[in-house]
Amino acid sequence: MATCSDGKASESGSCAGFLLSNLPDDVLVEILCRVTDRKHLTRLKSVCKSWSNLITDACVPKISASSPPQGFIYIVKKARNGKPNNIDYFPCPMTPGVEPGPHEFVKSYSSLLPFQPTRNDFLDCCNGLLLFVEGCTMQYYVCNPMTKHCIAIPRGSMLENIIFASLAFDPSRSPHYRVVCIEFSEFNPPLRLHVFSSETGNWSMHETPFGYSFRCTLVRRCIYVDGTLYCISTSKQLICFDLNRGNSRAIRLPQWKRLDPDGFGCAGPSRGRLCYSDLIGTTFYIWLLEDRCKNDRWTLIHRISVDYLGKHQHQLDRITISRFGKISALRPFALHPTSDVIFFGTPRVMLSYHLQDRRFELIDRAREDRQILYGQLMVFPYTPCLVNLKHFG
Amino acid sequence: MSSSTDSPTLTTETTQLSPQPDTETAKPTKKITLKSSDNQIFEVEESVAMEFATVKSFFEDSPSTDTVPLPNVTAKPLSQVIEFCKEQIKFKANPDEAQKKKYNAEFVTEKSDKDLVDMIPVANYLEIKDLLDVLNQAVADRIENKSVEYVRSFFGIDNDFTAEEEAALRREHAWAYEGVDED
Repeated sequence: MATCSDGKASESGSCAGFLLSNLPDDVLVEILCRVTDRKHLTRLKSVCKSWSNLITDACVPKISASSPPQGFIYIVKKARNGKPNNIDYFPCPMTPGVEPGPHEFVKSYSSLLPFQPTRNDFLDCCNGLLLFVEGCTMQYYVCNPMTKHCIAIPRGSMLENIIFASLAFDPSRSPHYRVVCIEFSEFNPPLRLHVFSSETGNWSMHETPFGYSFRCTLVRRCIYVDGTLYCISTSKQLICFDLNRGNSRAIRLPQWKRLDPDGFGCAGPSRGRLCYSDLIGTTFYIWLLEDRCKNDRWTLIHRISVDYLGKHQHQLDRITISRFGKISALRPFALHPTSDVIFFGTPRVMLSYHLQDRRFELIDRAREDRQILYGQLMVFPYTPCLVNLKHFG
Repeated sequence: MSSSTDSPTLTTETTQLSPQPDTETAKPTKKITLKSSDNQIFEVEESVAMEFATVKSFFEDSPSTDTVPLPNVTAKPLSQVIEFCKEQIKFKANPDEAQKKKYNAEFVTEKSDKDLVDMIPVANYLEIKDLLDVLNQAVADRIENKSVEYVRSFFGIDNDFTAEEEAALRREHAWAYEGVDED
């Protein structure tokens, strides 16, 4: 018999049973990621040590990288009785499987917190983790509603004048998260970031070149993509904080005349890259930010005419159509992190739009007495995440 | 499912041992010989063998050879893999997604747990993506919602945790055990 020229074959030599009793790790990961019940997958960590490591180190990142959002957390504005706004949730019907209803979801995180969160205590939701602050004590909490963990973040000594805080977390790359507090003091520019790393358990401080001198205000919502936190400013710029390198820069948003000059669109991760969407006139535009490190450039990747929506509105029911209202009320809410879908709508209705086949579907209608506030600013896609959080002690 | 190791397809394969030298004018029915680790000889049509990416690249590297040794592969899973690929060739010629789906489902349903698990490394080694997909899904379906003990015996894995370690793992992941009946 000729000698085998294939390296793989000769590795195991003449040992016929070698491959038969051992599934290669990558195949095993492939199988385990297909176990649809994620709780069951987690229980399978008990099978043996190598499975436990494989599930933690390979399956969880792989699942995280491809998981669609299960629903949306949004800040509710009650239309009539002027009561304080609160936090609500609606499941995303695009995602198959048993969804928690709005009530169960809200309960799933509020039961973990040592206080009753109000709308102002909720700060961010990033790839499955939620960030809260207890208003009177300024104590930060990070929750994972899936794994029922709630972690009190150790206090930083320099946390004053914090205008808002965000989470930086991407379980497809690392099980560690960062809490980023943005400090603003009118008398003491520039803008500073205080970053807590769950990996080190410590706070660190980063100065940015941005002051508030040019009357720029940050929108209180950050998007985390690939090590960088992006934040829209009212001066039509996207401020980027590179958390790994500790530097920051500003990118001009695509220049178009908006109907409402003070408004802004929606930035979000789509397949690991940052996109920006906005309604200009009667068309939704979607741009992709390219070449982030060297030369930032916006590339237009898709256009959706509102007329198109009008022509196909027979796909929607009458209540949905009646809740649409004016074109100017249309806003992009979020981008789908793992497929070519954008979520948009009005304060009363949310739709999903599939870029490839130009199909749209109803996601949810807000209840009669409720509204979804301010487009992206108050809408947070939620994707369950299997990462266990550890306490700091 | 019978546990005998000799496979019925084996005999039909080995009856076609005579070489077929002058078929170039007609349909290209060139045969390729595969030799398993337990020295069983399989003659398969070239089109079937080319479904195996590993075999294909072997031929690209050394086109003059006519026998491919497969030292990691035993006869039984190999014969089952060949059976699958023969059917896939038919679907390639005559695309019928519904029929293909049905065949793939039946193919895995009638296999024992051991047959499935034995075929996976073979499909992986021969780089037959479609089959690997079908097998991975079938195995995932079979272990869905089965106890840890069941899964261990399914894959023939020994528990290497101490009782304390296992208890700690459970505590750490208490959320995953909620609403689960203890077995």
